[in-house]
Amino acid sequence: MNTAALTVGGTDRVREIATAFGLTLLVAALCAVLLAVTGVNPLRAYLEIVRGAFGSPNAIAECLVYATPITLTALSVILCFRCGLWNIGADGQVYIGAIAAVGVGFNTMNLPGALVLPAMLVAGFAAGAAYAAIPAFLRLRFGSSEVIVTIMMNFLAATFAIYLIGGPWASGITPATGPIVSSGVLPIIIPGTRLSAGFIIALLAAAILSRVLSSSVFGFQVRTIGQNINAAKYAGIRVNRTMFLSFAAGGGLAGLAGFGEIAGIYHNLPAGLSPGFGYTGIVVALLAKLNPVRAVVVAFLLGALNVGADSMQRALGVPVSIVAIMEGLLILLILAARLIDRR
Amino acid sequence: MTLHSFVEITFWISLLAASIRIATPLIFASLGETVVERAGLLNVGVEGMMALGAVSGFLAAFYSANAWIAFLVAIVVGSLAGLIFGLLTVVRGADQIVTGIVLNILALGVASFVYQNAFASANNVPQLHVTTAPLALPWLSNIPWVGRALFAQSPLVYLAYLLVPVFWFLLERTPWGLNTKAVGEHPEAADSLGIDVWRVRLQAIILGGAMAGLGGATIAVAQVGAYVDGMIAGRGFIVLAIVVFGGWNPWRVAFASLFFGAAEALQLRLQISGMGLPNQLLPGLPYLLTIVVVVFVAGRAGYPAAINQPYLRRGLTIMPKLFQKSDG
Amino acid sequence: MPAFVSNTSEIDVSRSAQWTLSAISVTKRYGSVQANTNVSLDLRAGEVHALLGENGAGKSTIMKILYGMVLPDEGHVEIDGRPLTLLSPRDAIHAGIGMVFQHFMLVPTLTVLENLTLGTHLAGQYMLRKSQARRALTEIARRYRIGINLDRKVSSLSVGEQQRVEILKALVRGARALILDEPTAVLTPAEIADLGVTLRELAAEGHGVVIVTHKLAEVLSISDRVSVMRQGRMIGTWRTQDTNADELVVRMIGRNLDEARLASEHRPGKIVVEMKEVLTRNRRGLRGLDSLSLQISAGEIVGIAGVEGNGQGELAEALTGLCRIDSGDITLNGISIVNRPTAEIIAAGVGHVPEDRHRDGGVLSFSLTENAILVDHRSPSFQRHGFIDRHTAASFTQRLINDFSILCSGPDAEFGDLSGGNQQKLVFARELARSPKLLIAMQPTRGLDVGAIEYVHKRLLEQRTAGMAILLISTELEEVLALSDRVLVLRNGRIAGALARSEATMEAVGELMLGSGRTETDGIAA
Repeated sequence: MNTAALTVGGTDRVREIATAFGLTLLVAALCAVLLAVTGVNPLRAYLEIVRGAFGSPNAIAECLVYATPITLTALSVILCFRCGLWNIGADGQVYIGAIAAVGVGFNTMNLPGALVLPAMLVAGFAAGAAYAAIPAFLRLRFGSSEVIVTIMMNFLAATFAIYLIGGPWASGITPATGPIVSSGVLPIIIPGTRLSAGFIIALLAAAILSRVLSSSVFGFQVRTIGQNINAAKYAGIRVNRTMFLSFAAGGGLAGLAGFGEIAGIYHNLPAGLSPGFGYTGIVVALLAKLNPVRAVVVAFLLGALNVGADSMQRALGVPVSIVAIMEGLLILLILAARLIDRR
Repeated sequence: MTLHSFVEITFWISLLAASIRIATPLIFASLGETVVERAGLLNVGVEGMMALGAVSGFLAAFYSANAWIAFLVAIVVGSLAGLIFGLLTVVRGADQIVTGIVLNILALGVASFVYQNAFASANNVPQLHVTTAPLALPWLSNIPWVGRALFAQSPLVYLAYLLVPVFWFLLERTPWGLNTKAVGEHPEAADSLGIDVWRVRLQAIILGGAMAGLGGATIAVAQVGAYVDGMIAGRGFIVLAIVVFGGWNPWRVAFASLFFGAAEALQLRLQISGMGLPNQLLPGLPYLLTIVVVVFVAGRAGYPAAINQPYLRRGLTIMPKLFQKSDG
Repeated sequence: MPAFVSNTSEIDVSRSAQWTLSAISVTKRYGSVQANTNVSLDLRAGEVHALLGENGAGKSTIMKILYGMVLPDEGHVEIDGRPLTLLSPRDAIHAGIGMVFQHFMLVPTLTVLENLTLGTHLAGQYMLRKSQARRALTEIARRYRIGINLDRKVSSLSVGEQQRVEILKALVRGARALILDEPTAVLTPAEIADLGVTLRELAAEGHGVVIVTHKLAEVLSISDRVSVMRQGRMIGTWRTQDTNADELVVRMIGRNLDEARLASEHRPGKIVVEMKEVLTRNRRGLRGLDSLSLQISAGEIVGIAGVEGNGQGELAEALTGLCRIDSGDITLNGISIVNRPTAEIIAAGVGHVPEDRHRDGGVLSFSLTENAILVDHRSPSFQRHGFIDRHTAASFTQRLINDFSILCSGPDAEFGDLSGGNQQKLVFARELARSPKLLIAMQPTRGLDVGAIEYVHKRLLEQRTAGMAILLISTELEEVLALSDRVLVLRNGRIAGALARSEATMEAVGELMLGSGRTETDGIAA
C-alpha cells in the first residue's frame, strides 16, 4: 500500500488550495442540484447550514463538540495509515473505549473522587489500544486483512454495546446505561454549552501526534515503513513491532474519543453512541492529507457541516444524509483530480 | 428448539432451506466480487453497492409493483456504482481501499437520502406487497428429504444455482475469462499482448457492481420486503471474506456463501430458541465467524498477484519499469 | 503457409523470401537527454544481428521504436522501402515484428498453453478452443525444434524454458523479425548455448533476429553481423567474422578498456567476516544458502561471481540479518551475528549497498537528509531523547553531498528527483560515512552510466586500500574480475570454487559457474 499519494506533498501550495476550493464549490453545486430535485431551495438550505453552524456562540460550541471525537478518530486513522496499515476500525475502538470508560465510571471499586476521571481516561485509551491490538496481531502474525477484521470488529463492538445497554448495565429508563459518578465528568469549558475539556484533549493529542510524526525517532520509523517497507527493513527498523505499536496507539486514540463522549457529553453509555465517528474520521484524515494539525481544522469544518445540517433538517426537512453525500463526493472528486497533482 | 433439535433431521433440513435462502444474496455479490478480484481489483465498496441495490430495488418494486423490474433497476444502479469505482481506480489510479471505503460512505448516504425523500411524509415503514413467492420446481421438489429445501425456494435462488456454473464457465472457458485472469496476475504481460487492461477491469467491476446490486435488491425485495438504513449490516464485507474462503473459485465461493448463510440461520434459531443464550450477543456470530475464516484461510496468500495495484499505462507505452531513466 | 499463423504480416512469410526491416535516421529525445541521434539500423531475413552497446548507449530506445512502444521524434521504420506506422506493439505485431523482453511477459499462474493463446486468434471468440490451440502450438514447436511442455504452469519453468515460451509467443503471432532484449542476462552458460542453437534455427527458417546485448561473448559466437551504438549514436555495422573483441570494445566505449586493475598489492589484514556452513531457506521455502563458507579479511575485495539466482540475494540477506539462518555460524570480528536483528548488525559495523536502490536503499519521497540518516537514525549523533536532531542531520548530508559530488539542489531535495547515478552515490556515501568494518556492495553499478560506474569502482578500490573488508556481489563478470582480490564463484547456494586474482580468468570462472567440469563450453567464447 502506498500512502505517498495520500500525504502532504511538496506540490504547489497555492494550487492545492485553489483545487480544494474549486472542488468544494463543485460539490456544493452538485448537491444544490440534488436539493433542487427534491424540492428544496438550495440557497436556503446552504444558508440554513451556515446559520445553524455559526449562528450563535452555542452553535459554534456545538461544532467543536462534534469536532472532538472526529479529530481523535482522524488522528487514529492518520497514525495507522502513515504506517501502512488500514485502520477502518476506529468506530469499534470508540465503542470499546466508551464501554471501558463507563465501566470504570460506575466506580464500583470506590476509587477516590480525584482518580475517577484519570482512571476513565486511561481505561478508554487502554481498551481502544487493546481492541486494535487484536487485528494488528492477526495481520502481522497471519497476514489477515486488517480491513476486513477491523470492520467486523466494529460490528462486534456495537453489538456488545447493545447487549450491555439492554442487559447487565440496563438503566430501565432510556436506551442507555445508568449514569457514571459525578467525579467522572469532564468539566465544561464554555459555560452554557456542551463543550467539555474533551476538546482540549483532542487538541493536545493532535499537537503531540504532529510532533511525534515529524521529529521523533518513532515517527521517522513509522513514516519510513509507510513509504517503503523494504527500505525500513534494510535500515534495521523493527517493522512488526513499530506497526503493532502504531496500530495499538491508533486504537488508543479512538478509544479516547469514546472516553470523551462519555465523560464530556453523555455521562452514560447511550445506544447509538457513534454515528460513524470512525468513518468520518477517515474522511477527515483523507481531506487533511494525513496531517494531524490540518486534521483539527478539517474536523472543525466537518463538525460545522454536521451541526448545520442538523439545523437544516429541523428547519427544512432535508435529510442529514446529505452530509455523507457531500463528504463522499468531495473525496471522490479529489481522488479523481489527484493525478493531476501527482508527478 | 432445544439441544435435542440437533439430532432431528427436520431441524437440519429446515436449516438447509434457511441457509440457502439467506445465502442467495451473498452468492450473487460474491460471484461478482470473485470476478472483480481475479481481474486485480479489490472492491471494498460492495457494501455500499448492495445498499444502493437494496434501495433502488425497493423503490422500483414499490412504484412498479413488479419484482423483476425492481431487480433490473438494481442491476443497472449497481453497474453504475461499479463503473464509478472503476473509473476512479482503473483510469485515475486512485487507491482501491480508500475509494471503496469512501464509496461506501457516499452510497449509504445516497441510499438513505433517496429513501427518506421518497417517504418523507410516511409515518411507518412502507412495506412491499409484491414479493417473489417461493416456486416449487415440479419434479425436483419431490426428492425425499432435501427436495423442498433445495427446490421449493424463491426463483432468485434458482437464479443463483444457475449463475454459479455460468460464472465458472465465464472464467475458465472463455477468452474473456482468460484475459481477466491474466490482467489480475500480470497486467504488464497482458498489455504487451495487446489486451486492453483497462477495458477488462472496467468490464469486471461493472459486472461486480451489477451482482452486488442484485444481491442488495434480493435482501430488500425478496426477503425483508422493506428498506431500512443499515440493512446490509456488513454483508458486503463478509463477501470479501467469502471470496478468499472460496479460493476465488465460483463453486467454492458458492459453498462458502452457504456456510455463512448457515451460520446466520443457526444464529437466528438460537435467538428464539429460549435456550438461555444471550440473545443480544448472538447477532455477532457471523462477524466473529468472518474473522475466524479470514485468519485461518492463510491471509494474503492466493490473492491474484496484481491485486490492488493501479495499472497506469494503457496500450501504447508499457509501464515505467521497462523504461529506465538512465538507460537508453 | 501454415494455417495457424495469422497472415496479416507485412513481411512475406515464405522461407526463402528476402526482406529488410530498417530504422532510418531515428532521433528520440527525453527532455534534455538525447537517447537516439540519427540512428539507422537494418535487419535482413536469415541473419542474426547483434546490437552491441553499454548501458545507456541507446539500444533499448531504438528497439522500443521498432516495436511501436515509443514514437521517434525524427526518422521512421520501413520494410523493403515501405514506411511503417507503428503506434503500438499491436501495429508492430501486425507487421511481423516480435519482441522478447528482458523481463518476461508471462503470467506465472497460467499454463504455457494459456500464455501462448492469450490475446491471439488461437483463443477463439466466445469459447476457448484448447484442443485446436494445442495442435497448432505443438506444430510450431516441432517446426522450430523448440521443446516445451504445454501444460506446465509457467511458474514451474526454468528461466531458459520461459525464454523459449517467449520466443514461441512471438512466432505464434507471425513474427518474422524477432528482437531479443538482453537475452543472456539471466541464462546459465548451458542455456546460452541452447539459445544460440535456437536462434540459428530461426535464421535458417528465414527469420531475422536482433539480439540487444552488452556482452561481447555472445556477439562473437552467435551473430552474423554486429552494430555498435555509443551514446545514442550508431557507430557502424560490421560482419562479425570481420571483426574481433578488441575492436568492438574500442567502438563500444570509445577507448581501450582501461583494465582498471588494482594499484597496490593484496595484503589482507586480519579476518573480519567468517561464514561457516550457513544454511538458509529463501522466501519460497527452497534452499537458499547450502552450507556456505567463506572468509573476508580487512583490506581486501572478495568478489562473488555467478549467474543471477544462485544465492546472491540470500548471501547479502544472511549477512545483514534480513533472513533467518537455519544453521551455521557467521562472525564479525569474532562476534557472532547469526540471526541477530538487523539494527544490531548495522551497529556492529556492517554496511550494505543494496542491489535495488529504489526498493531497499532509500525512500523516494523522503528528502536526502532523511535518506542519509536512514540507517543511522538511532545513533546518538542524530538523535537525542528519542527526537531527531535535524540540524546535525542536515549538515551531515551536506558534507556527503560535497564529498561525493552529488548533483542535487541540497539536503532537502527529494531522493526520487535525483538521477540513478546520484542516488547510488548517496547510498554509497551514507554507507561509507559510517566507516563500516564490512561493506557489502551488491550489483553496485546496475543501471548506471559509464561515468558513474567508474566513480563507484574508484571509491571501492580506495576503501579497500584503506583497510575496509568489501564483499562485492555482481553478475557483471568483468566488474568482478577487475576489482576483486579473490573471486568466489557462487553456484546453487554454495561456493563452487575460489580463485586468486592471478588465476581468475573468464574461462576459469566460467567453468566453475557451469559446474560440470567441462573444459569446452559450446557457444561461449572467452
